[in-house]
Amino acid sequence: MYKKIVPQIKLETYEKEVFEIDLDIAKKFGKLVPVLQELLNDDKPLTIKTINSGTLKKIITWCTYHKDDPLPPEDDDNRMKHSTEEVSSWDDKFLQEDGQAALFDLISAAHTLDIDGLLDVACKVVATMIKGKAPEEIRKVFNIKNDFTQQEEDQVRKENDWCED
Amino acid sequence: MADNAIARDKITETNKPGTTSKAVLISRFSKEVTDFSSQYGSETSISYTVSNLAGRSNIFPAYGDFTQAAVFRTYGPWWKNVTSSPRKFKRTPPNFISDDYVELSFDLDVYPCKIEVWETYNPGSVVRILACDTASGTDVDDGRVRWQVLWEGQPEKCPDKSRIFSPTLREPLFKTSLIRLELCSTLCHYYTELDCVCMYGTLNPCSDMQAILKQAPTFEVKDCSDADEIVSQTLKYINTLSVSSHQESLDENKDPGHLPRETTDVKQEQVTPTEVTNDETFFEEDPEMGNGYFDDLPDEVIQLILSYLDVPALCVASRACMLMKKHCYDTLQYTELNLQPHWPQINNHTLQCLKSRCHHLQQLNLSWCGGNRGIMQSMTFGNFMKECGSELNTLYLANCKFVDSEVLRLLSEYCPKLADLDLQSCMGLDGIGLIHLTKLKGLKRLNLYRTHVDIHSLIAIIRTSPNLECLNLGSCSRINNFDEVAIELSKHCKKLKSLDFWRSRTITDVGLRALAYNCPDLEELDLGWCPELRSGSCCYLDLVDRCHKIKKLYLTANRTVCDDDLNAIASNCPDLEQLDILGTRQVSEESVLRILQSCPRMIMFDVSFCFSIEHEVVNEWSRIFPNCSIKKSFQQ
Repeated sequence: MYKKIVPQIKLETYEKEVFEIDLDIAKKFGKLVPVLQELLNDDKPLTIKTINSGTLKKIITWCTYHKDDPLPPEDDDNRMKHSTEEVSSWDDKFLQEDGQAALFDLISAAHTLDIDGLLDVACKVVATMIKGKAPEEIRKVFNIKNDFTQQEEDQVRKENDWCED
Repeated sequence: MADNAIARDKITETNKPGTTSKAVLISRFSKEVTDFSSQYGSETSISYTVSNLAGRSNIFPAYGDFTQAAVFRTYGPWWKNVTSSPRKFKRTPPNFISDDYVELSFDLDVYPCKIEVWETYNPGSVVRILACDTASGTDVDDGRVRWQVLWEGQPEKCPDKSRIFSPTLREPLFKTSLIRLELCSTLCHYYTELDCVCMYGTLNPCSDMQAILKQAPTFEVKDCSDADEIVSQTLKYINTLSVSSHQESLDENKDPGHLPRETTDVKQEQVTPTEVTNDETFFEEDPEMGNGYFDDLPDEVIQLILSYLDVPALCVASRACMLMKKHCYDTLQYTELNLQPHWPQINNHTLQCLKSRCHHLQQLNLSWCGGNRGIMQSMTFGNFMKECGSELNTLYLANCKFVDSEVLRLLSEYCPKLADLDLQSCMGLDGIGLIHLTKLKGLKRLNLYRTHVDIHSLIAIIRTSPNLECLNLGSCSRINNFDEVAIELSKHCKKLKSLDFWRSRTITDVGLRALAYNCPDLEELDLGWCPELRSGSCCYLDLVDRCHKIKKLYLTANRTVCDDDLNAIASNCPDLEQLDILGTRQVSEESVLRILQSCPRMIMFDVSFCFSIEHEVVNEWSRIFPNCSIKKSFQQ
């Protein structure tokens, strides 16, 4: 029986673990695609020290699940439609199931690897975590320290009190 | 007309078993329409005008197309996908879907517990009900007016019958005698028509509205058409009631529980989630710089996250910490600003707050903001433009009462790049004010629907706007010679793609022919209710003979449109998508069918009141041409 040989690329993580990724999945990697294609015939993996193995595994899972998605739209109107689309329940669960640290690692990695679709959807999830919360709740959820002086805090409150009820 | 429409203004006294307490339920039909966004009817008539919503019912329970109803200008999805469609703004909250609004006053302040909207044609379009704090909360000094959303939901597809829509309201925070209904008629298959609005409420805060509403009326004021007399009777009756016993009833019913769902005709209440599904946080390491994991993200990624927040959320987030403030105040987050969805909260103070962040503003939507109560002044807006207008290319100011001559003078001075300007229903503007627009050389789109523009200002604007592509002059009742306007357009605006002459009573074949000969790019032409256009002059034949790009043609209520016109349209307009020939008796089934066969892109075809076209035939065509929505309104 004929078996299709799928070209693969090799990526090495922070933990020096080497992952083999099918090229059709790595095609999600935006600007990196030409670089990865160059390396196709190379035995040496591409090392990306800023990404850990756990995050790369998640990325491979996400790219595999979304491998047949259409490319993000180019024109303004469709981009807008795209930007207001809700996060699918699969994505929402997938992005949040490992906690906030993992989500932010994923965002950084998606930015590094130039995976537009993943970056967009992960940023939307973070935005959803901000929406509808008071400043104190935002600080609590993201472990942010209030570094305003009293005077600054009063000022910034005054400049934004119009949207309170 | 209908029995249940006769004695609606009444007072109900409810006696709770086992107590001596009394609560008073008062019902009222709206007294006056104080503001609205658009209307089907003409400015000088009462047919199909929004003011018909005032007073008691005169249609219900009949169902169908009636001139005594309140009707808005548009319906359905079609007008949103054409050249003249308004721009879509980023950061528009997905739950803001309102297309139109109407503001209604009542002759008594009450805590509303029930609002009935009597819908008599294509129901299901009410999506939001708001109450204004008219009794106490309005603070003139700081220019704020309080509005409370009493209900919001999604538009519905409803069966073809009249209904009294009465959604479960949130507990009112204050007394009101002024409410707003917002409508989204995108799902309607034809114009939505409203008969009247009735508000039920109490004079004191009532924690048990459910019991009040359940009580059968035990006391009624005799039917009385004089509103003043009703008020005096009501007040007289109220004064006979013991205030202290009412207070007792309040204390006994501390639980402000939600109202139960009505059994019929109630929209699903949309509860906006205030909490996100997963709030759990996992901190595996101590962040070093105090901003949690945001410290690890590059600036552009933080900016991307914030770009998914709506404007209020962006403003609230700025209060979390210095890092958030820096990014939430970044002028790149404010290149386009849509404040229309937040109109109840927008006032002078808002613009002053946002001013320092909007130096790269390119698109601004302030439609519906400012209201009738002077909470936004032309001076404040002018100052905002002075600081933030230099890159502005799009400005929507529909129904903004603060727009006056001075505002337009400042716009023309500070916003040299302005290309897309919407001034529809800015009733505070006169012809002299509009003359300032002649200083704007780059205008491409101008909406003057329902304004008081006069012919001298309009012609001056036309002569200085060679790039004009879209112009809306619908219901501009002060223009007395539309032929002159059309001739000037044909000389100076040869790039014209969309022209709305809705209810332009003075346009004749002379004006239309000038446009046809000189504006070959016309895609959209609304000539609805232009009675002086006569098919016999061959003006429609000339139009389609020259303008082959026509996609949307409204010849509503012209009466003279005939088979020759339809056959010429079928032969010459292959891109036609929308055609309205309502009210002509001269067309045959054969020529209507020919349009459907020759114009494969047709999505909307209105043949209402074309008496030679039978309902059965329309139904048959709808089966054969499923992509085209063929309209035939009816009266019961």
